[in-house]
Amino acid sequence: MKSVTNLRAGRLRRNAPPLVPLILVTIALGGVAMRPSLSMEAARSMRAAAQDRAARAAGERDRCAAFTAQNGAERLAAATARIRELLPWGTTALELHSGVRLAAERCGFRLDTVSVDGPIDAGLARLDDLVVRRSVDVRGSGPLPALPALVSLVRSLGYPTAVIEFTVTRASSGPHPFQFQIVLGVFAAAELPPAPPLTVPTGSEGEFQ
Amino acid sequence: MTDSRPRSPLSRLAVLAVSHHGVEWYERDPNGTVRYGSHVPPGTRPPDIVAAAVEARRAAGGGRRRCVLALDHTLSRHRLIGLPPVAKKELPRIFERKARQLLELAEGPVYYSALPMGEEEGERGREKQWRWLLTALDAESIRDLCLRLRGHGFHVHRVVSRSLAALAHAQAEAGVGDEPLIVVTVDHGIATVSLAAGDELVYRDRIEGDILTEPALATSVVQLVRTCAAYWRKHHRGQQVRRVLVLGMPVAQGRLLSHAIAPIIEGGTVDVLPREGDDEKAGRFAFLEATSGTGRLCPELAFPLPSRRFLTAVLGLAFLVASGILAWTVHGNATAELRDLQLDTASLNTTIAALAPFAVENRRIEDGVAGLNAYLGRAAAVGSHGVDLEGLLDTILAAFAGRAELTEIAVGPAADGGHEIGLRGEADPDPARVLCDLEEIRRSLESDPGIARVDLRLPARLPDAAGGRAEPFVFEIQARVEVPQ
Repeated sequence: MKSVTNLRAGRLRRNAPPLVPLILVTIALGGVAMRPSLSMEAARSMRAAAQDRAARAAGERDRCAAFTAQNGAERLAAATARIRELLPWGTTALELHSGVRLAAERCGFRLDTVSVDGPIDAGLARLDDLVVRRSVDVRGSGPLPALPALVSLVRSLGYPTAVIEFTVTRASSGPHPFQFQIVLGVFAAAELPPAPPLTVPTGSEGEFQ
Repeated sequence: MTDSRPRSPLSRLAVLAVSHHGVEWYERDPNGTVRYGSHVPPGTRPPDIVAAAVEARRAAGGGRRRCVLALDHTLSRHRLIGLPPVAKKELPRIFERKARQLLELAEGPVYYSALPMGEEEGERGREKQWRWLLTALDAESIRDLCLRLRGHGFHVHRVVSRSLAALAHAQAEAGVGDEPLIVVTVDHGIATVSLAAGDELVYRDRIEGDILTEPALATSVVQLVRTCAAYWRKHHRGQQVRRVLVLGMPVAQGRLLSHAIAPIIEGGTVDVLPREGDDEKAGRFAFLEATSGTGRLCPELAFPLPSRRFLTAVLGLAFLVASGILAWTVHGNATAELRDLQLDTASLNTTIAALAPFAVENRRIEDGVAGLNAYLGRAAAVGSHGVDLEGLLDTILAAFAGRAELTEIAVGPAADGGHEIGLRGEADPDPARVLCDLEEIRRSLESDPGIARVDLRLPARLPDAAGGRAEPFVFEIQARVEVPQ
């Protein structure tokens, strides 16, 4: 059993009046002192982020300077233009017909028929323009080794050409021993078709779910 | 006056013995010099007692030193009380009520201190009781007294009931341990007889009156001692009390009293404190010095006083000033660092803004390169259309050269998107040679990486050799144009 006394009861209550304002003022002073420190972390983060962005921006400047020093812009534009020039623009059926006939004559072929189809989408990537292909059906006779020359000559006239199919049949001896039929695909650039207008479903036909 | 007796560490404290009848100041220097002064207060109010204390200290030539405030039986009252076992949380309320009864106070706060004194066997069917030594103080008056004393330069280190403090001191002096001890203390106007055993106060009674001036009271004291001894014998199977200590009487009178007590404790010892000294005050000094004694039977009655307002204000102000300076310094440093950070960030942002056009230019360049790559890819796709006519013809003509005569070539799109090759030829009808030639043709075609799945189709029978001239051996070959990956 311990002793029981009230001699020290209420000690905290008696000491509280002077302590409470002291503690409150101390807390307030601490708050005032700590206030800038509370923003310090955010400020450090912002500076670190700014340093990163500045380093990246300096890198961009260096890359740009190196590119400019090598006349990169001009060379890039020239290369792009040359690549684009590989595809003729707006080839007509008459031009193709004339070109193929001219090439066949120079290769020693005797032409029977030349027919040129209308342009169709070649299914290649659409950039600023569209790649179309015309099928040119050439029939005639002549020496077999001259057949590749015919294709090369058509290409040399500025028409990107692919051999889609061909048939060669020995007919007789003489200057035109082979009958041939060759279908050429001639590529050209064309304008992009206009984009279809956007249609907004109305009424009961198309309600958004 | 010089006293060379050994001293306890606490005897460095001066003693301020306070009662309504007189206030005494007692202190003893390390070299044994005693300073003593007394003064009778003009009234019983705390200001009167404090005025008397100031006068007593002045009369003693005492200084501002720490002291024990020794209260007499009118200012601190105590009593042995018995309580049945009750819940612990009930005890404060009970003791407060008992203390109020002891002080005969109808209202007002009281201080109390209750020391457990062990169990008491119940008599005649009564339940056991816990015995408590309850000490009570009138809180308002004792608080007022202590505050006023502090205001007059008295550093009250301890507050004790001087009769209980003297009892504790006597126990320590007798060195009886747990053995029973009867202590007779003589104070101004009262003689107290106590029976203690170890930490337990067994019996206590007092006689009002000054035994020093009324020798007849000694008989009553002796009777009380006899009662104590008999009480102990009764409750401890005839065991005798063998030690008695008389404290607070002049040496000669103390010895006379001891002679009167000695027959009560046959074979026991009666000690007198002080043991020697001719001064008539020696007994009083011994009693006053005993009031600085400590022990379990002497409850510490000191209570916390409210802090001094001026001192508190000065300390608080100093603390606030120091805190303010610290806060100002921390705030200033943090603000400066924050400002530097913000300036750095602003400067970096300016730099970033100045460099922003380069990033735009680089995006434009990247777009240009991507466009070039797209056109290159499309041109490559155009070039990969169709079949390689020249290479295919070279392969076919080389395969047939000297082995067979090529009569037809048909190359066209297959259903699965590739190209099929169909060849027709005529070979020498000699069976031994034709098989060899055709195998060579097939191998030659297969050796071209652009041709695959070469399938040689022969007629069901060899041609007839009618008329002396054999017809040519006609065969067909089917193959696929292998698209290079």
